Amino acid sequence: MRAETKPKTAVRYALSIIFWLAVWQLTASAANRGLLLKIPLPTQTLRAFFENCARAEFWSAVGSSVLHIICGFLSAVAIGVMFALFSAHSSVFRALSAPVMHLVRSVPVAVFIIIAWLWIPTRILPSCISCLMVMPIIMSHTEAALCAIDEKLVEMARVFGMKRVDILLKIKAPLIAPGLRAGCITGLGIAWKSGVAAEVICNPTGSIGALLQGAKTAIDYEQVFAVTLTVVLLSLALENVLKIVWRERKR
Amino acid sequence: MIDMRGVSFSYGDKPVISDFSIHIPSGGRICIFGPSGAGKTTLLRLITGLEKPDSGSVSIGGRVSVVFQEDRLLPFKTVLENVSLFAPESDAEKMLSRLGLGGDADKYPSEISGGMARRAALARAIAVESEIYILDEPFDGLDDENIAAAMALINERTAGKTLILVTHDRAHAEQLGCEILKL
Repeated sequence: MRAETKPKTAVRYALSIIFWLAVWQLTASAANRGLLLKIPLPTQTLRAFFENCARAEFWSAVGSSVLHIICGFLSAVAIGVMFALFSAHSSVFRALSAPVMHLVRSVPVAVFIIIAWLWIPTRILPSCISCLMVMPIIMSHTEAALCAIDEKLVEMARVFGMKRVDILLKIKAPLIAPGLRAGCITGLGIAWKSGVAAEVICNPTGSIGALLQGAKTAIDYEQVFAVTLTVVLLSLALENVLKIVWRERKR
Repeated sequence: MIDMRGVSFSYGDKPVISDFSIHIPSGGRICIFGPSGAGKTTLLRLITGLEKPDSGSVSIGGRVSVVFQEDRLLPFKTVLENVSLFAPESDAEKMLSRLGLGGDADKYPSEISGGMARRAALARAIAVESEIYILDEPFDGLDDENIAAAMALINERTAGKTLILVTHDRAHAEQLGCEILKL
């Protein structure tokens, strides 16, 4: 397959979006005409979205959700990296953690939200769920990167008298960085999905999830779509911020 | 100074080195010869402390610099960053320049040829001020011109220091003034 230039890929991506917006427009028009079901038009969704943007409480909800999900994500990165280090150096830890990680990966997020809600306060539940869902991803990516480290490079550093802490920071950390970066990019999307799901189910005041739940209760189709659009845009924005801030170094 | 007394080492059930003793005084220069599998690399690993002997003792006096059989350059660092990892950057730049890599200092290991990587590995070892230099096939993949430059630099930097060379070419050993040790 031939590699494409960045502008060409961007144009193709934009054309795909236009195509699907057209499909949405046609489907919604047809559905609304036949009164089979109501689907808001893209223009109605955009209008509701911009109306939201003019409201202070909307931005407060966005800020609150972003903060909660970022907190959950960062906790997952810290715990995931720490567990990966333990796991790479201890077969006992690896054996003990394996069934727990399988459980977290296979149990639906809604089940975890309901169970966690029994004990965890609503305001911190989205952070905890994001952390729980993302942590195994970070751990597996980091552990794979740690296991792929060429031990000959570590030996080289030892022979030249490099200290253990310097080997960790100057040799191992840069070698695991690409794997951790990939895990973070994947994990950030999962953090959003699971965090917003937790907000929708447990409804913390002044959050995106609560806005979505409120719109659904009020049978406000445009608002449901507008809030969903907000979630998608925020997820894309955060992912791109992460990619820009943490650029892969040429090698 | 390197002192090995009654050293034995085996990989599993396979003995590689049996009751081996050698004393290399400070400033001594030896070249290890031997067929593949004779234990040359194992001997170097024992001297550098990467392996512990099953029996006997190994003691070394001073800092060690090594050119490994493989280049072992860090893929995420440029050639200059690799060479200056354990030595001042000014020294690293000088070594690279002497070995004809001055114009390639900002390249990454993936962007240079095998011969250039070999010279970079040699520059990294030689740039460090050490008491003991261990060079495992340092001229592998180099042409005559580069071998001559490398040889001159090694002679200059290791004067009065302990040198252990592994090579298949006796002429290289002679030019560096090494005694021959057959395994």
